[in-house]
Amino acid sequence: MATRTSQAALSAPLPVLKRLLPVALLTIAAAWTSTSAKAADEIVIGASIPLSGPLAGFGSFQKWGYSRAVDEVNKAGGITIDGRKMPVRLVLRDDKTDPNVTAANTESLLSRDQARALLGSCTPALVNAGALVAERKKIPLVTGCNPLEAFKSVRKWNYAWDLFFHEPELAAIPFRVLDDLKLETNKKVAIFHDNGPDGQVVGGMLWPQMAKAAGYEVVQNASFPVDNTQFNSLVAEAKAKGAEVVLVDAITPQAVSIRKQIASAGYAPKLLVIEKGAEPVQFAEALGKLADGVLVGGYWDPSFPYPDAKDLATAFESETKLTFSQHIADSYAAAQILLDAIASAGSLDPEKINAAVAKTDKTYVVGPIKFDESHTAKLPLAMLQWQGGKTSIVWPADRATGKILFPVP
Amino acid sequence: MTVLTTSVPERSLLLYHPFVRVAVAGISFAALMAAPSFLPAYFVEIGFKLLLYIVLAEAWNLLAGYCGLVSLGSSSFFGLGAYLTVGLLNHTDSGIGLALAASALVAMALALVMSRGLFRLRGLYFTVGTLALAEALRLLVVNVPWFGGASGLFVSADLPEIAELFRDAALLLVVTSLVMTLATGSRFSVLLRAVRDDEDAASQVGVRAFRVKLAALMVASALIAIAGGLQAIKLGAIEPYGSFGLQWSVDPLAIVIIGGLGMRFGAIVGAIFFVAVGELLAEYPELHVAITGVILIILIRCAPRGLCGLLETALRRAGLTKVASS
Repeated sequence: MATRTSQAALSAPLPVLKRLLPVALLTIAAAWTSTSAKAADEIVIGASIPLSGPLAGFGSFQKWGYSRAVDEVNKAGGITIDGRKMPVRLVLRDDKTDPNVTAANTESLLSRDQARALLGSCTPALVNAGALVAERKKIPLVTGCNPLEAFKSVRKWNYAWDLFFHEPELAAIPFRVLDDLKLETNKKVAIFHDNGPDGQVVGGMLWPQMAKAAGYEVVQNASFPVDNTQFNSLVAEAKAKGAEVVLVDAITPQAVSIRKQIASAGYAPKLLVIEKGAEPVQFAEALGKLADGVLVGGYWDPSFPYPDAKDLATAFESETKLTFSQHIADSYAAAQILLDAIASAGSLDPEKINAAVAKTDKTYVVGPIKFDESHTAKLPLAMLQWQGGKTSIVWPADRATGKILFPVP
Repeated sequence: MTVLTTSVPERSLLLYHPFVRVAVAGISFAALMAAPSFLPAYFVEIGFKLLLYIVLAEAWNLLAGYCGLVSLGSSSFFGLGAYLTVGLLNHTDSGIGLALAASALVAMALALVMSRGLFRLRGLYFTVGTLALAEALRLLVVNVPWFGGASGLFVSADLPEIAELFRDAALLLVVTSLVMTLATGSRFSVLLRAVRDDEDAASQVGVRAFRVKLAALMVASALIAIAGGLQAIKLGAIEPYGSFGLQWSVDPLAIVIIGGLGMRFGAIVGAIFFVAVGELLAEYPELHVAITGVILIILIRCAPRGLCGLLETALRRAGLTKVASS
């Protein structure tokens, strides 16, 4: 047994802890105060986006689009606020594809980083979680990447604004393509859709209605959980019922599984549309040749006749050495709309910025943007098809950049 | 041989005097309730998150640290609390307090119903069983239309301010601390540890292991459900992937391991560390997951008894605490 003297005891690790505690507290306090001080000299815009988790693919495109718009403004000298040019600082946080984190991040962006305006995340669950916080705090938030009906169904928005595609228009495209391009099928349709917000609307409601109106018979309409991985029984049923048109609404991992399981079942529908999941380049990378012939609705392509459309894709591909995605365009446009609104308001007052966003009426890289009374702006749509690892526009005829592969190879 | 160091007895006695403990607890509670009035909004928000994490970690510590029930099912009760609270707020006139209390009762009932099956499993099998429960509940909520499917539900009532929610969370923490003090400082704590250390031996000497485990599970479930309800009210919107997300099971586990498994202040110290690291690394979204992982590995390697274990060793060396040695 050993007893210690007080002196020996106090020379043990405790003093180290004693010294470290104030240092740690001071560091946290200094970090917070320096953030507040910085915020007074610059315009802080915050965005919580999915940089990890299942939607990290979308988040990386959004990050590039948001950053490019901010960088351009800063290169031009910033934005004049109350007669003084101020730089813009974009603060990005990773929401890990979790709405809880999106909400927490959005709160921190406002309280810690003193963000004066916000940009949105991606997909309804994430965007809505951040937008609800913005709404409570009365801070304007501009977003893309959230289908308009899913956005409108949450509440009447006062401070959140969304530019994206409208689900009824997206749902109508396959039937318009079949009709306009005079594609012959047996008019039997199988629908597979997840039970996420847009999956339920597009797959569960709109496609069956539109198929009936266009004279098609829906022989199967199957709903599955968003994270389902086994589709063999669904595919087997569609094959057994002889559906030559297959319409799918699923996120990318599920979209890849469905395409593979269709192929492994020896099932060869003539037309295969995979909304949502077939959009990012990761879909084609994961499938290789199996991606060829898959159709997906699109709201943007560098060939669209809008300002800077071609330059945007070229800049993305030269900077990142990756294939562009539509999401670089809606995120770039969302950031430009917000920055234009701040410049137009000439103030950092959130109410004035919000009023300026409401007055937006300009053609951006995604087309003409003017928000309606429900705070939404529709992006015009086209039908894209994967061909040799790239997408070609196959409909409408006046925008087509390639000829449709039909039936699916 | 068990001995007590006596070099600085005055300081030890003062720290352990019941009156001092009650006074410190009272002052801490008063400070917590007053905090939202003078703290900047950012600290109130972080404070709310911290309080919630402490409650979740305390509940997990009660189960795993004291009773040996290593659960990965916290998210099931968290999500249940979130959905019940939102459902009650949307469809009844119950206030927040009543909705949270009802959620706690339903969570206890679920724990009671599931206990027969879960307690037939031991060790890793129990852990997997709790994980399966969380997954089953999530899939139920996703597939049953009443719960809004993957889209979830929105709170239709007016949401309270963050200051009010902070005070609610502080009250929940006080209740949790009282429960934990009772559970770990009474005869019940001996029963818990007996079951944890050797359930069969404990049963042989008359401990009713099933009842002990059931009590721990029901109490922990109620606390977790209330925490879930508070989080749902704060968000104003819930959906199954977020509310039943695995992070609500894994984060409390990480917090307790960082703070000190089975140690009275392990949950608090671990939660402070966890939240502080998360906030300090928030500026580096691409790196923060990797850096947090590295910190965890270093901590587990260098401090297997957690930060509280390190602190206890330091205090023991300083002679500021009673120590058992042989």
